[in-house]
Amino acid sequence: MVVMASGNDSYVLCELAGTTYALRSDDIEQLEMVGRFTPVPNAPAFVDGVTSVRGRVIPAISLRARFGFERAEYDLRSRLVVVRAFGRSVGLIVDNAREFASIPSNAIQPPPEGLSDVSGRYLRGMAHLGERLILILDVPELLRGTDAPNAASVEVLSLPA
Amino acid sequence: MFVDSVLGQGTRFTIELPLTLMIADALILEIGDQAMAIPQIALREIVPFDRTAVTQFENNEVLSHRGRVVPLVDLSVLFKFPSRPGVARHVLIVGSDHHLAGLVVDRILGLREIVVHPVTDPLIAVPGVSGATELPDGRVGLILDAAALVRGTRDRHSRAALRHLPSPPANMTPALTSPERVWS
Repeated sequence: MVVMASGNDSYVLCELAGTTYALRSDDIEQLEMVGRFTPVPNAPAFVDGVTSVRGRVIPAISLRARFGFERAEYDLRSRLVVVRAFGRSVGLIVDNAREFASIPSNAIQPPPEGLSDVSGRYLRGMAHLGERLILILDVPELLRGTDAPNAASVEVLSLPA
Repeated sequence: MFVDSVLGQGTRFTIELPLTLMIADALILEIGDQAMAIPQIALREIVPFDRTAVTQFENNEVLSHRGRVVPLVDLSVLFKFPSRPGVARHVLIVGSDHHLAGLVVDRILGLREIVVHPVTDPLIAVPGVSGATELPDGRVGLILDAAALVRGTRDRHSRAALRHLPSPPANMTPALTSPERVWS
């Protein structure tokens, strides 16, 4: 399944733990069924492993774990959303990804103040789609924030002897 | 790929292969329930893991092998992929003449040619893994970085020796139960 939509206002809607998130179509390379992942030893806890997507080996991140939700079993609706930023491709595992939506930029409100630092950075804004509140993710910021793992694993590896 | 045609003479097709696509002979092995690969070129020898030939001292396990002392790294402990009980284990002897190391693994599945994919993303660039490949069953298998694992044992030994000199640590942890040590 390949996503070919583009344009600034075009978003893919994913669900995660009952909340709808929107990812900009331009940041997305493709959507895949969730297959088997090969665990990577000593990688950050939210990295479920690596998988091969069209001949490339990329990390698969459990977005549930990344956002502090409980992990869920993968099922037929689970999707691997392959996103790209800074020349990296990373797979995000979401509960499902079934909808496209066009969200004009003037419909997006900035995230409310008082959200914790971490959420604030990769949450680009919020929008209402009918009755639903949709959280719009900033993929580059998400990947940047996810970059720390090396620092994290270095920490893990240099525990005092 | 480039196509260069001269009318009435012929056409030259030039195909440039990316350098990152490398094919290597590798040994496929299992650690716990994970299949992994190690480049054959890194291997010196494979011997059955014989508990009785292993000596423990301080935080280390060493194998007496052909008159030499070879520090061991149990990859199932280091990678936290628990071995299946009762599985026949093997020691891969790797390293240089100056510094050998033994990697303790589970089953040996066989030799095959693998396509080496680089693992560059910071999320998955972990010590001891140099790349990845696709295994026949479609899964991704990680490729062991023998040189890094050997370096790990060497550094650990020199530091352990240094630590030992002034005062031996009071609470010694059993050998190889703390993977952090290998690269700490």
